[in-house]
Order: sequence, then structure tokens, then C-alpha cells
Amino acid sequence: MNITNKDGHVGHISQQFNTELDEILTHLMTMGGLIEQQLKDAILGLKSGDTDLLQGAIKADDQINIMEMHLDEQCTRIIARRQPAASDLRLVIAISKAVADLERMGDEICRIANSANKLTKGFPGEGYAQVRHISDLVATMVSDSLTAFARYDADLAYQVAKRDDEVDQEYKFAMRALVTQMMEEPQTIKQSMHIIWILRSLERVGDHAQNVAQHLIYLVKGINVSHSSVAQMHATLDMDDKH
Amino acid sequence: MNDLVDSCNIDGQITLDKENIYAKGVDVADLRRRVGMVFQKPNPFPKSIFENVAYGLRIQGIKKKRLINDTVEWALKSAALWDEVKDRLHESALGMSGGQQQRLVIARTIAVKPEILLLDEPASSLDPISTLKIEELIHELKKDFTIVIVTHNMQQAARVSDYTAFMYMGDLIEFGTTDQLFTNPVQKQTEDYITGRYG
Repeated sequence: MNITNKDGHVGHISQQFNTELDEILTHLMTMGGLIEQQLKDAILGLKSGDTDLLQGAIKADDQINIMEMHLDEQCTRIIARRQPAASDLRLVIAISKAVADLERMGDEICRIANSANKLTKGFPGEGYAQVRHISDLVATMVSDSLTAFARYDADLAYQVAKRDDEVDQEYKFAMRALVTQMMEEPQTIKQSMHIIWILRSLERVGDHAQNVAQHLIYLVKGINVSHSSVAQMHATLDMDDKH
Repeated sequence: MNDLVDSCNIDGQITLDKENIYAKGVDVADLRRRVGMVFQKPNPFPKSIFENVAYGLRIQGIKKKRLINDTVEWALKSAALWDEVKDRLHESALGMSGGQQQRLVIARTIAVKPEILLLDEPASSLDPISTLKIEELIHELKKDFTIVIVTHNMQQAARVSDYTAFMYMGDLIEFGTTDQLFTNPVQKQTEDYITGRYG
């Protein structure tokens, strides 16, 4: 049975259970908000060279890690005490997995901020445009994956997964450009390597946003679309819609 | 059995190998042999452990002592009871614990090699350890028998079955694989029931 919004998790005989499920969803959204801000700070810091912003992004990771542990405990407690089933079970599983992806996003964003801190000489010739373009795409993916979770919007989640292919493509182009630059101007190798690490982390953040979107599809539709290509996902979701 | 209840009302058919079990000409004694039943409350006969298990064989007219001995041993082993009772086979079955009595009743049922086992809340009057032993037994027996179990315990249904039917007030609401029914049911009524939303 598809579930269309978070009201699908209320109405239990046990009011306490309603509250517990609502709490984990709210905490996930709060954690998502922190990640969005962390990513925003890291990217802005990277573009502008503002070390305070970069430092803030690095520091935010501690709080994100604490939230991850707290949410993990809450999910474990619900499974042990409530033995959730059907859409409730899918909610707990989806959140538990999404939390892990959000935490990994936090780690990657930290890496971006650390690499940005080392870019003391600014951007080499190639790199700035790619970083700006990919970071815009990834920030939208992160934000959309969280919005999809908040609204139980499987269509938006599908769009996030679709955008990941675009990020992968852009990442490949950027790599090629940077490798060419390093061959032509060996003095930029050190800076270019930092840009490569940053792009790699951005690409990974995009992958995690795609995972979060896929967990939401599992929650809403009850279909596991992990490791599915966009075409497979489209076919599976369409097929499900017809039923 | 239904004939004894005036208000009993039956819709649909129950078929065994495509034959309606309510059809005229069905040999009820043979049907009873093919479909074994175990109920909520253990109901051992006031006889020895051995005689309880041998009972079905004796009323089938089997007299060969060796065959009866072997079958009793097989049934008690299959019911995971042999090691606990092998030294007191001729003591009264009424002296056993509730969990043991229920496994004895299952042994008595499978001794006549039925095709189907109907288990009606077989563990509801048992403590958690005896319940797990019965569930483990169901897991073993389902290799050889078709088992239909009625339970109000949702976790038990999820643990022991391959397919689950959800019935409410006499109506079949949903039937599907246990995995599907407990993770993504089709009917809202099923979803509400298994998630604890029935008030």
C-alpha cells in the first residue's frame, strides 16, 4: 500500500507510538537542515575563500555525528519495543538508512572544507567553473531529497536520482579538463589535486542524496530501487503506478 | 463438527486436492486422517505418553508392534519431544508441562502421517520458551506437511509462515506472501491491523 504523507503514521492505538514515529521524522529533517547549511557554508567558503565559513562547516560535523547516534538509538528502540510493521516498518528502516547517508554527506562536506582551506593560492585556471556548476547541482539534489522526504514525494525523489546522472557526467568532464591542465601546466598540480578532491566529495554528496531519495521511494511505494538505473526506476515506478 | 452448531453458516468451498470436503460421499474418517488438528489448549488423552501417540495407529487397525514402536519414536522425535520423554514413555501424559503436552498432541497428530496440519492458536496458552519450541517445530514440520496456523500473534505469523491470510470478522481481507503482507500490504484494513491502528 502506497503511503502519501506523514499522517499515514498516526492513528495507532498507542499515542506514544505516534509520537515516537513523528519524533524520528522531525529529527531527520533537523539533521537534514544542518547538512544543507553545512554544504552551503562549505561551498560559499570555497568560492570566496572565507575561512570562517569553512571552519563552521568543519565544526558542524560534530553536531551531525551526535544527531546520527541519537537517531540510530531512537530507531533501534522503536524496533525493539514496538516491532513496527508495514509502512511504519518502512519508515523506521528508511530513516535509519537515510541517517547513515546524511552522516556520510557531513563527512564529505567536511573534506570539501578541509581541501578548500588548503587552496591558499586560489583556483587554478580550470576548476572554478566546474566546481560552481557541480556544487549548484549537488546542493539542489540535497535540498530536493530532503523536501521529497518531508512531503513523501516519490516523483521529486525520482527527479533527484535522475539528476545524479547529470552530476556524474559533469564530474567526468571536469576530471578530463583538470587532467589536461595538470599535463599542460605542471605547476598547478597541487592546486588541481585539491580541486579534484573537492569535486570527488561533491560527487559523493550527490550519490548520498540519491540514496536518500531512493529510501524515500521505498518508504512511499514499498519498492526497493537501490542500485537501479534511472531507466529501471522509471519502469518500476510506472509499473507500480498502473496497479 | 459444523453440523453441531445451529448458527453456523458457510460460504465458499474448502477443497482438498480439488475435491470439496463438504461434498456428499466424502469419507469423513479418511478426511480426518488426511487433515490433522491441534487446538489452543493441549488435550492429551488420559493415557501414557506412548499410548497417546500410538492411539491413531491403533484405531486404524495397525497391530504390528514394531511398526507402532518405530512410528511413535519417529513422531516424538519429529515433535522435538523424544529426548525429554524417552525414559518415561509409559507414564501418564497428564504429568507433562503445558509445552510438552502441546508437542505431544502434535506428535499424536503427525503419527498418522496427515497431509495437512491445522494448528489453531497452538502456542497461545504457552510460556515464551515453549512457544519458541513450537515455532521451531513448525519450521521443521513444514518441510513434510502443509501447515495452516491460526494466530492472533502477528509476530508469530510473521516468524513462522510463508504465506499469510488476514481475516477479519469472518471475511478474508488479504492473502499474500508473508514478506509482502508484513512490509507492504495491499489493503488499508490489513495495514491498519498489523500496525496497531484498530481501536
